[in-house]
Amino acid sequence: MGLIRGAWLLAAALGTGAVDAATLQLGEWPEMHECQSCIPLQFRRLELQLPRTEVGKIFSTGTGGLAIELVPPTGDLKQSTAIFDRTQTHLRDLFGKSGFLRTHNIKTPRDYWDTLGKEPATDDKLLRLVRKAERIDSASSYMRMSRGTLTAYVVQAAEPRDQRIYFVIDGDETYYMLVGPMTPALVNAILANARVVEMP
Amino acid sequence: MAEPSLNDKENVRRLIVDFYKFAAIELSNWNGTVNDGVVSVFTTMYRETVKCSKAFALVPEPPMGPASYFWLSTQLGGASFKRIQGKLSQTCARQAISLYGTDLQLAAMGLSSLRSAKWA
Repeated sequence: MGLIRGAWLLAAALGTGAVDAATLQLGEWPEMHECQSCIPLQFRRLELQLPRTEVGKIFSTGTGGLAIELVPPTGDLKQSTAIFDRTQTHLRDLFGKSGFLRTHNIKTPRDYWDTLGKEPATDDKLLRLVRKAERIDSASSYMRMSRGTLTAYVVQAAEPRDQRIYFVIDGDETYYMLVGPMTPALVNAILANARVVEMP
Repeated sequence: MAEPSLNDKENVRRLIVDFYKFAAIELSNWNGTVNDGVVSVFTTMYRETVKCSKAFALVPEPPMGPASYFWLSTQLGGASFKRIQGKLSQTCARQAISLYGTDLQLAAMGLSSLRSAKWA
């Protein structure tokens, strides 16, 4: 029942833009549940349980590849969801000269995603541009939910292929990004059993 | 150091459009600006796609060092990219766009801090 309630709450929030599109909303994390038929996937310190109804195959492009792909049961790679990891060093490199991180006192990936959820002040052109580049300004919803040391930011983007979940782990420089045409059911399934584990 | 020619800039702009088409990803949110940052980010996108596709010996590989308008324009511009795209993985191209697409937008807005492109 917990999952159903959690899933309903999230599905409602990810619905038809009822939530304020431009700013970060706090969401309720779907409750963890047992999923015997799920495929467990560990990506560095992030562990996910992937339901076979939503994921038919996990595809890796191998050494030198950029990501792994969660391929839907139809096998259509164009409809797959990619998982990447990045470190906060990338953010520092990207924004070093613009002063964006300094201006907004952004020190961690969590600070970054929180800041993008703020309504820009009238004279804050920089934040407005970064929100535009990250497609947050045009998103139907932008939600944050936390469980233990794990925080998820869920972007329901205007472009169907551009649905995103960012996972941030407290005290970890690495953050994780899932991008693809994720359905609310897949988003719920990913979130429900996501957890932090140690690298084996 | 010479400014990039209008022709090189236009070739790079078309190349970026073709690359997104090849990956079957809508190129939204880009105002068409081609500057040093855009050239640098796109070169990374292309290089990562080549690496991921294991296509080193099959397609032109960007030289090490600063990204170059001229190299992109002459090696991949015009009909060149269409000729080589069959040797690249669409999935790898989609991954590169997913990973670097935001960086490209930021660069087009003049916000990228990535290294400058070489102009000649």
